[in-house]
Parts: sequence; structure tokens; C-alpha cells
Amino acid sequence: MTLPTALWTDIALGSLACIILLSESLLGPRLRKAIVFHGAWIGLVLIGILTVCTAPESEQAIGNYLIRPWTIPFRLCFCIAGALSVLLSRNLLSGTGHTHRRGLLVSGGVHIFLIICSTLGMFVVTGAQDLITFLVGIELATIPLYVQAAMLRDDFSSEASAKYLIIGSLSTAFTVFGISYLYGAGNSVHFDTLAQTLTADKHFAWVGVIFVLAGIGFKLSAAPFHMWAPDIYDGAPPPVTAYIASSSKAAGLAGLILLVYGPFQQLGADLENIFMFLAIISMTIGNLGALRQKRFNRFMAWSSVAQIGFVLMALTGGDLAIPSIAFYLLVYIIGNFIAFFVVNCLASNRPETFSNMRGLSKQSPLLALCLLISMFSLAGIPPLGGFFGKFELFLAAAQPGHEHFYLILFAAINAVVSLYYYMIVVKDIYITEPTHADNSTCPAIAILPSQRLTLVVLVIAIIVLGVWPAAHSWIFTLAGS
Amino acid sequence: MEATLTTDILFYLFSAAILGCGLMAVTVKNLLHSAIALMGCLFGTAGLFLLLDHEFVALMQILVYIGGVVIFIIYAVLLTTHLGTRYLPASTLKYISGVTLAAIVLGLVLHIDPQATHTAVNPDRTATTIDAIGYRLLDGSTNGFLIPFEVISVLLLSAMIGAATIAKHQKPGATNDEDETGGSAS
Repeated sequence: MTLPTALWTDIALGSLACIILLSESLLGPRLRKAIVFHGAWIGLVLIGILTVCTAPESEQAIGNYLIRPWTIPFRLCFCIAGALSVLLSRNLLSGTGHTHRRGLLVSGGVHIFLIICSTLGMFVVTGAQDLITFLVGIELATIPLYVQAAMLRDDFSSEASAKYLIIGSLSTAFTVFGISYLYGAGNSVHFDTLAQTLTADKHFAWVGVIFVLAGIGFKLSAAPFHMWAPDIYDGAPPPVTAYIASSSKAAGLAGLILLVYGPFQQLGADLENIFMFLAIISMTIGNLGALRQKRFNRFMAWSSVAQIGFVLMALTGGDLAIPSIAFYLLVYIIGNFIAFFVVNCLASNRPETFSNMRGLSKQSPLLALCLLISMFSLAGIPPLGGFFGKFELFLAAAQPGHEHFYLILFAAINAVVSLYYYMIVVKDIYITEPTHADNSTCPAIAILPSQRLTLVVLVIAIIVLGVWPAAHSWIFTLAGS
Repeated sequence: MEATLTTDILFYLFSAAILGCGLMAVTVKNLLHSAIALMGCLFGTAGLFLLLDHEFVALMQILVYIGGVVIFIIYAVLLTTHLGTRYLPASTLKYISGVTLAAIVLGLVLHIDPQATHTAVNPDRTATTIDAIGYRLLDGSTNGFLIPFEVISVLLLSAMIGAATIAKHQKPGATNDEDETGGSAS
């Protein structure tokens, strides 16, 4: 049995996790800090490059594990989000001479190890060819996050972790229950067999489909499964919040696409209605929730619910759905991380409320500009990447044979609503004058050199993704379109 | 197992045990007693699996549900103050909503076309032995589950290390990393 070249990335990720864990436990303090932190993010970036370099032309299989060409941009997203999350943890690790308002992570090494394990789980999800591997992958992607959410020693962190654990277990229970019905209806756990045996006239199959979709809906925080998101975004440590908001969503979407174009392919037309329903209520509830938030992380949680609505809208479309979602995710991850990098710098010495962000443009023009670009990209304003991301999603939903024009019109209205609340953030950082009470207690904002560099790179990336057509078509080629 | 008079009698015995214990589990006022009734209900289910020649599932039923879940519930009841001795109030509204929910589920189960359920069961599927399950887990072909089996080991490792890390006692005032090198895990 020879190993397919595309499998090297998965093996490399597993090895990287082992190296990080061993360095954390065996090396001396000084060497350890360098290897664990720099080794992890450099390793994840290299694995991202390796993913692209070993991208297979056609499906490559080893036993029951299948590496599909269209999953490559998703895998790239996981690596990028993992590396960014490690970089974002920098000011919460010990030994940087930096202090954070909420203290430092309980163990930086374990935190980084868990990020890599979770990334490996997401890789496994994209390679799954049967429901068992799929479930194990999803669990490996999620269980480390429960622990990571509790990595700060304050009550908010513990509360977020407990809530996430309970909601996460509930969603897993839904998924497993659904899988048992799919197995009963389709007589197999293998995707190829299920694709033929799961037909729309089987009641059993629908029970399974609904429960599995509900389970994944929790992971995606799509409405009506979104109620956990604000509390957990607010309580978890900043790098974990950013990771949950980006990578965990990307993995859920990759899994959803895998199911929709795999075992559920015969259910097409009825599934489209379910996605339309989910898309409409996610957009509406997300937008209404985001309008009235006062704390930045809660605001990001509601905005992510709305963003997922747009992505689900694309899933009602045809062949363009996969590449457009992949492109959108990449842009969304970068835009999200810019916002979280900025807010993490702010949050090191003040609570992350909007009132504390007033006057940011005077205190730190760089951070203010980055946050402005991030908000513009999330709102979908040209020429930034976010505009083309949203544009592609709308285009996918309007594909011939899937013309959901009412849905698109509804989404366009929601995009305008979302513009309003993203602009409120911009107004707070640029226009609203800080009151005396807001400003008097806040010391200067410190940015670590590594984080400043990352921010600049991310801002350049999001502009390039928006204005350079080659970057855009490169992602589409990777996704096999 | 061949269907004989003995297996018929056993089937009705186990079913009666499941129904009786299940009813007890939801009606008994003491939480500890209802946990123990739940245990009986799960034992009955394990017995049904044994009658169907699925010894592995029966074993898992006892190991995971009775040995794991119910014992966990009992621990939680005993460790929580007074939950074992104080009665939890159950209002009429709760009874009504519970009965309604049960009726809806029963209706759904009866509604599902019995013809459709027949396709769910493969008639010539023989009893699965524990050996066969083991071989299938370590089978690297398209029919096996080698990759998930390996991935589970990573999952367990990360879960255990994570749990040990957040459960570790930390001295107040000690900075995070220096505390670890001291090896004062407790």
C-alpha cells in the first residue's frame, strides 16, 4: 500500500502536534518558548504550502480515506486560521514580558498543541468517506476547543467552556442520532453506498438528515442553533474565539458540503428548501442581534450568524457553490482575524466594549485603519476581498436551474442592514469623541512586533484578494472549477 | 438465536422490565431511585440485544451506559447537596408536557411506514462477533475503519492532556509556566 502524496499533509500535522507536545514537556524553558510558539505557526504555514503543492488532480484514496481536490482550499483555510490563532495567542503566553487584563493562558504549550490537534480533526473531516470517520473528525475538531475555552483562569472563561461543552455535546448527540437513522435507512455508513440508497421517499432518511443537519447547524452557529455563540465568543480567550469563529465554521461548512454532494445528493431539491429556510432566518436573526450589541465579541458572534446565512444561501446553488464558499471563507477568515487581532491588542488593558474603542484613530492610527478595513471587508464594500466573496455567493445562488431570486433579494436587503452595524463600529473608532470617562482610565495600547507584522500582512492579503483577479481565479482553480 | 418458547418468554420478561423500570425512572420522586431504575431499564435493553445475538452491543450497553453514564449520574446526585434526599417538585404542567411529548414521539414511531423499516434490516446479516469488529477496525481497505481508529487515539490524547491541564491546581501568585516546571501537579 503506497501513501498518496496528498496524505503527507495529514501526517505532517500529526507529527507537528507530537513535536510541540514533546518540546513542551522535555525542553528547557528558554528553548521551549521559542520552539513551541515559532515552531507551531511556521509549521502550520509550511503545511499550508505543502497542502497546495501536493494538491491532487483527481481523488486520492488510502483505504477509506479520500483526499478530494475541492477540499484543498478548505484545508488551506484551516492551516491559515491555525497559524493566525497561534500568532494571536502571543500576548497571552508567558515570557513575552506582556501582561493581559485577563491574565495568561494556563499552559501555552498545551493551548498550541490543541490548536494543531483541532486542525488535524478538520483535515480528517474533509477526508472522510464514511460516517464514522466523519464523526471522529468532527469530534477531534471540537473537543480540544472545549478545553481551550477554559484556558484562562477567570470565571468568564470557565463559564464559556462549560456552556460550549454542554451545547457541543448536545449537537454531537444530535449528529450521532441522525447518523444511526442514516445507517438504518441506507444500510451502510459508506458515502458511496449512501449516495445511492438514501432517496427522498424514505422517512427514515429524512429523520437522519434533519438531525445531522441540526448537529452541524450548532457547529456553524446557524440560526436557530446560534444561541450559544455570543456567550462563548465573549468568554473564551481571544485566540480561541477567533479560532472558533473562523476555522470551526470552515470545518462545519466543509463537512456540510461533503454530505450534500455525497450521501445526500439524491435529496437535492428538498435540501435546497431547508438551506433556504436556514439562510433566511440566520441572516435575519444575526442582523437583528448584531444591531443592539455593546460588546465587540458578542457583536462578532451575531455578525457571524448573519454571515453563515449568506454562505448557506450559496449552498442552494449549483456547481459554483463550492469554489465560491471556499473563496468567501478565506476572505472571511482573514477579515475576522484582523478584527480579533486589533481587539486583542485593545483588550489587553480594557474591556472590549464599543465605548472603549472611541478615539482609537487618535490613539493608534494603525489599529484603527486595520479595523476599518476589516469592517469594510465583512460588510462587503469594494475593492476589498469581502465584496467579491459576497458577490460570488450571490452568483452561486443565481445559477441556471437554481434561480432563487427572492432569496437573493432578501439577502441583498440583509447585506444593507449589516452595512449599518459595521459602520457603527467605524463611527465609534473614527468619529465619536471619547467622553472623559471612557478615556481617562485607559493606558496606551501596546502591540507586539509579531502581531503588528501579521496585521500588515493580513491587510495586504485582503486587499490583494479583492483587486487582483489572479488570486481569485487561483482559489477557484484549487477548488476544481 | 432460534425463536423458541424460552426466547419468547425472555423477550416478554425483558420488555416488561424495560417498560416497568422506564416508568419508574420518570415517576419516582427520589432522583437516586430513578437513576437506579434507569439502570434496570438499560439492563433489560442489553438482554434484548443478547437475544438478538448481538453480544458486543449488549456488552457496550452494560459497559458504557450502566458502568459509565448511570454511575456518573449517581455520583453527580450524591455529590450535589441534598439532591439524593430532597424531592424535586414536579408540577402538573411538567407532567402534561412530558406526556404530550411522549405521545408525539409514539405517534411519530407509529406513523413511520412499517414497510419502510423492513428495508432497514438486512435479512441475511449474521450475528456480529467481537472478533469481526476488531478485524474490521484494523482493516486498511475501503471496508475497514483503520483511519478513524488511529484518529481516535489522537482525540483521546488531546482530551486527556487538555483535561489534566485545566484541572491542575495552581498556586496563587505563581506565574503560569514556572509552575509547570515544578511538577507540582495534584
